Amino acid sequence: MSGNLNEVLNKLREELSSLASFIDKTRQGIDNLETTVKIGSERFPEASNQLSAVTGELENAANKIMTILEGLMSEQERADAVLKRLSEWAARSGAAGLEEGQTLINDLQAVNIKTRSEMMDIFASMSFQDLTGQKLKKVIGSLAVVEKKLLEMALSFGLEGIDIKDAAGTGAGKNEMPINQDIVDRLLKELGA
Amino acid sequence: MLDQNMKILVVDDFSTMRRIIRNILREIGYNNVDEADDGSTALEKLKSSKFDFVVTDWNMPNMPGIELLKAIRQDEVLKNTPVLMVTAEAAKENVVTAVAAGVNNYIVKPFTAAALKDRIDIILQKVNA
Repeated sequence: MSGNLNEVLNKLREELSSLASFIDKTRQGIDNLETTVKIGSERFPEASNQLSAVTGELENAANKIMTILEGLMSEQERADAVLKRLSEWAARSGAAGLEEGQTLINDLQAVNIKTRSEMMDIFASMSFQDLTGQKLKKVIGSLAVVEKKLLEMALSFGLEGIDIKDAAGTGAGKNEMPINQDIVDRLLKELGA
Repeated sequence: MLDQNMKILVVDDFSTMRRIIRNILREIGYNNVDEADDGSTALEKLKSSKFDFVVTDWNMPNMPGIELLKAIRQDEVLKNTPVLMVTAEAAKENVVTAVAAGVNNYIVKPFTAAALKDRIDIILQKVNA
């Protein structure tokens, strides 16, 4: 009878020991989670600020490139005007080798037209700044959502030293299926626009 | 009467994008261009001065392009102003929404000068027909 009781007590002791060990591990886990939440709460605003700074830097860089491009295009307009005058002058002068000279002028004008068209392509490509900016804005929005959740967790843990501020995000982008210009054009036609 | 002298309002919250569109418009022959950085500023400009054409972005603070479009279509004076949506919102539902709201055409960023010219020409042909 007492043998059975000892067996039960030993079993109970083992169970209690195992339970204590489990509680201790869980407590350590929560301690680690608190540290993670605290670090996350501090780092997320920094990440958002860095991304906002990237958007600003991209805008500055794009504006600098466009200022250079506008300068080049202005010079090109001047070159085009000079070539036209040169062509007119050559025609009036009736100089020997006029035909060859006119061919050279035509070649230069063709180069001018091609480079101008390529400059416009560079201009249009600068819209990368707007597109990346919009994507970064969505990422910043997502970070704000995660940050808010972390702050709520931090609040529930009663962590100190964290500024609880309104971190409501603008939200990540909708789950939308992107389409290209050809599909847009077909859609517009179908819709009668 | 819509022609190369028509007054165009470019609406976009990114200054770089407004600059790009302004330069492309200039290149294709439209020099009479003004700018606004969101829908509400654009609406004020449209109500205080005569514009012949609007090129607007979709995603903007305060008043997005789609709301600007709806406001234009609801205004007795402005309702016939051609509107071209220039946007990164390349989703089918966006196009459908824009058409339902009365957009004249829709161009997806990034685009070329030729693509912008094509869309403007298509709108002007329809408006002048």
